Amino acid sequence: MDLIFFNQKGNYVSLIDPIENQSNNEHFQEVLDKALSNPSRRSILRGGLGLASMFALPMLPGCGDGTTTVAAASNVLPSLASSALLKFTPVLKSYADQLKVPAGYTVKILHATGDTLDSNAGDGVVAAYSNAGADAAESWAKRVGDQHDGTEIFCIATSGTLSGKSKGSYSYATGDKVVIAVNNESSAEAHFFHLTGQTSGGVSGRKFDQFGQWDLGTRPADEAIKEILMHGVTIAEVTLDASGKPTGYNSTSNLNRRITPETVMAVNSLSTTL
Amino acid sequence: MQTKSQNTFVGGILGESRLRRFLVGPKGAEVTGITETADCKVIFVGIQHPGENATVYNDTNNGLWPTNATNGVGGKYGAGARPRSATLIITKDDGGKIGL
Repeated sequence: MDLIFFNQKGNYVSLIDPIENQSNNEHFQEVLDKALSNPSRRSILRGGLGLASMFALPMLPGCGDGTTTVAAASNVLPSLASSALLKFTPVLKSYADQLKVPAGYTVKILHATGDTLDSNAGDGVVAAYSNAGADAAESWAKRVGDQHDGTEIFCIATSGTLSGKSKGSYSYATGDKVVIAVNNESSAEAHFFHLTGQTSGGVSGRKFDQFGQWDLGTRPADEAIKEILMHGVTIAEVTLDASGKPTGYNSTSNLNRRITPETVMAVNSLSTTL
Repeated sequence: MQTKSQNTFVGGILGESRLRRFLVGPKGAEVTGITETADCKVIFVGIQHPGENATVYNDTNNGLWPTNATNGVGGKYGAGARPRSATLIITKDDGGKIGL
């Protein structure tokens, strides 16, 4: 649970997320307080409180006190079949600027920040990524986003005969198309997207990240657009070899999609569902 | 004086056959987003913010992956010389299940 207090301006400040609400919008806590002021809406907290109780119970004073005998815990795990035990040679610690996996494994890059998701000629082709800050700002709406994070696989039947698979499945069947969805989490390395780093108040060469160096100076529109569009979700079709093994991504696929902060969508939240 | 006792949780001993380091990321990166195919033969892994400790856009001392040549992913990836986040495809050369 977060710890929240008022600052001198009367705004909520969170100790866990110490970034103040600089906008004119209400803090989430104020929205929640209003919702909870209506007794008929208090049920929204049941799930959260139930969860808190579950975690808090083992901490209650006196818990375990009494006459009940509890068997001594064992730290010996159940045995596993040899086929279920790890077999590779572990990799050593490393500070090298290199990716390391055990011998006998191969690593490829599926896609990286800025890669084009629409290299089709004739319909506003998005060029290969310059990786020098030279890309048109709006092109980021059709580029792989940044800060690759949570990832999920979806297999899509194309024949139309595999009942129940039309909305995506985790199991691959021959002929399926496969897409990978990746969360593009934050703007921590956005200074790499511009010709000479980030610009604020007319000064370029800057680096702003989540650790608080933002100076709130005026930013060029193109830089702001890039930094907005790099967030969200990247969905890309995976190219497969004859045996169904992934080889890369298809930059011309019509399954490729970006969801960004500019994507029009209906958001259902506390205020619309209560 | 002891007045009561309390059993606490004990972690199981994993040993060498249940816990091993499988992957080390490049400079400055956070390893994220692991997911695997249903047949356990492919995993996808996120490499987030390589070069995080760069102080300027053209810093060459704090990580250039995957635009450097000896990067563990088959050579320089893409244009330019700035680090980039990426999603990896990892397979076992004999076609077997990952880790086993």
